Amino acid sequence: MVRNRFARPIQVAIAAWMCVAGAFGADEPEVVGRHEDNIYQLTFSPDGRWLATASGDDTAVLWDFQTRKPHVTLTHNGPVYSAVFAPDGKRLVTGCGDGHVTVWSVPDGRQLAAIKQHEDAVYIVAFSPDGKRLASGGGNGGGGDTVCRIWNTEDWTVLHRLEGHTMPIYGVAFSPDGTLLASTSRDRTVRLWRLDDGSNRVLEGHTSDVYRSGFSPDGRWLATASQDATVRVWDVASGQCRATLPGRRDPIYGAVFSPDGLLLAAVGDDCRLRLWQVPEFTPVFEERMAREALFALTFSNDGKQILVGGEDTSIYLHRLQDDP
Amino acid sequence: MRWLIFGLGAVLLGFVFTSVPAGADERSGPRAARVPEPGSVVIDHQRGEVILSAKVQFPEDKPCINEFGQRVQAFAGCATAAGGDARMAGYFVFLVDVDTETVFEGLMKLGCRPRVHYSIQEGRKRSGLKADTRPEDYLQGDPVVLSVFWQDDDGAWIERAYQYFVTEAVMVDGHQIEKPWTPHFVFHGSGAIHAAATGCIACPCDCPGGIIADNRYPIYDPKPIVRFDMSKAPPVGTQVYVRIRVISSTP
Repeated sequence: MVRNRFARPIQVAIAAWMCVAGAFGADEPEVVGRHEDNIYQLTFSPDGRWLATASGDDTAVLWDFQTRKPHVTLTHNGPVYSAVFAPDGKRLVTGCGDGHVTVWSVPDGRQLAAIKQHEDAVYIVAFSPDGKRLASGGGNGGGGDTVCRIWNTEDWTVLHRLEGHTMPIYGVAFSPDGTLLASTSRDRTVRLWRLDDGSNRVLEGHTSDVYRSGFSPDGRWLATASQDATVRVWDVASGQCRATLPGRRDPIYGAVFSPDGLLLAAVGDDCRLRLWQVPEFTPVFEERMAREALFALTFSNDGKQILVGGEDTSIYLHRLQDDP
Repeated sequence: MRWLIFGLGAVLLGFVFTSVPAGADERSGPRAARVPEPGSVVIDHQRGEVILSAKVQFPEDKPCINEFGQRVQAFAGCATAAGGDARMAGYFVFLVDVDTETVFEGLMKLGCRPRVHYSIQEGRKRSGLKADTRPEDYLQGDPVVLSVFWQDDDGAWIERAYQYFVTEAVMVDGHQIEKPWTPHFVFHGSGAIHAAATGCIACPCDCPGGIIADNRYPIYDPKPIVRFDMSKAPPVGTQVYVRIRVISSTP
């Protein structure tokens, strides 16, 4: 009697779970490339042809994503923490541990400019949506140069210095409309800067270092990853924390929204990729992807694949399946 | 007369016990003569040692915990470092409740000195045992000895060498055999000097992220294959003390 009473709900739950598991893929991750040291960032070019990777082996690599072959290796004098494409896809900018911001031509890998404005490592660079500005942030373990720079991408001069963080900046991200910049720091705060007047709002709530961040495509949400083992989702308009998404207990290093804004993905020290459905922020997928900590992730431009990388130096591809 | 001697003895004995600093256990003898309050350290110049307060945690799924592997992270480390949370705090079995810089300062006050230290970035450049490896490719400093002690349920003190909890594996004729862990720990200080922020105290390989390293090999490569046996450690949450005894090169 009891069994019959609960049989139907259990069947429904199992079916729902299988649907979810099928929809979000259970394939083994494919290794699409390797570095010789930590991978800190993965980014697709706007046309999806090129993948840029930033690594602790002192290189950034431009990969032909179709052939999975490295197209050109960009050598630096220190670990490369960040590599991003300009919105027109013709330039790649890297941030290096030696304090340089370097501009490269795509796809030939010619160095166009190398400027040292930061006194310490550059941990993150990001282009504005119109490509006219670039933001950079960094520091050192204990603090150092914690000023966020806004660059003019025509002549590579610094337009603005955003001062406020008291510890290294690990992440910067422009809002999709280009009016706001989010910066995240070891000082446990998130700052939302208005780029027209340089004012900022401090978003507090994380209880440890805040690593990288990403806006949703509609600009409504900002996701931030933290050493405190959570991803926080902030309502950009109000500055309120909309959701605190727990991992297990390990630091989470990266969080990004899918191009269609329907998924939020995160990776961290427990080697797992996690997905949440937006806007409910309900968990829909979790899988161990690597042998060691994952620092970086990105969606392909069509949103059907996710690349992750980190401490074990491999780039893993995970396919999201459309149909159960 | 006999009563007078007894009485005098009792008074003297009472004086000795009240002279022992707060937190000491009178039954324990020299092993636990002084222990720090949580959040502080004991720097004992007479005994040439620093004692740290720590709690046991189970770093589940981390490398080398209950299985053989290689790792850079220490088994004993600090919860905070370089002005913030320690990046590797989740990896430690013995989680010390002061920052790495305080431990560094404590060892320095005892005359213990680093000699070759690098940032993690510079360390990577010097990584690996190669034909042209030089002495400077090994982190260097005064040798130190580590142990961990705690009280059991009956209040008796137990002390174990840091090595007691770990077994090492080596390959012989293609077979992996187990051997005692025989690290050579030196105080290089890199993690504090270069603000690495890892929190690591004593690393099971030659790693500039912490302040003490096993420098049998050059930086990072090769890493010894080791296994920390959690069944040898006291239960999770137990208050323990990490003792670092120095062999100082300064007067």
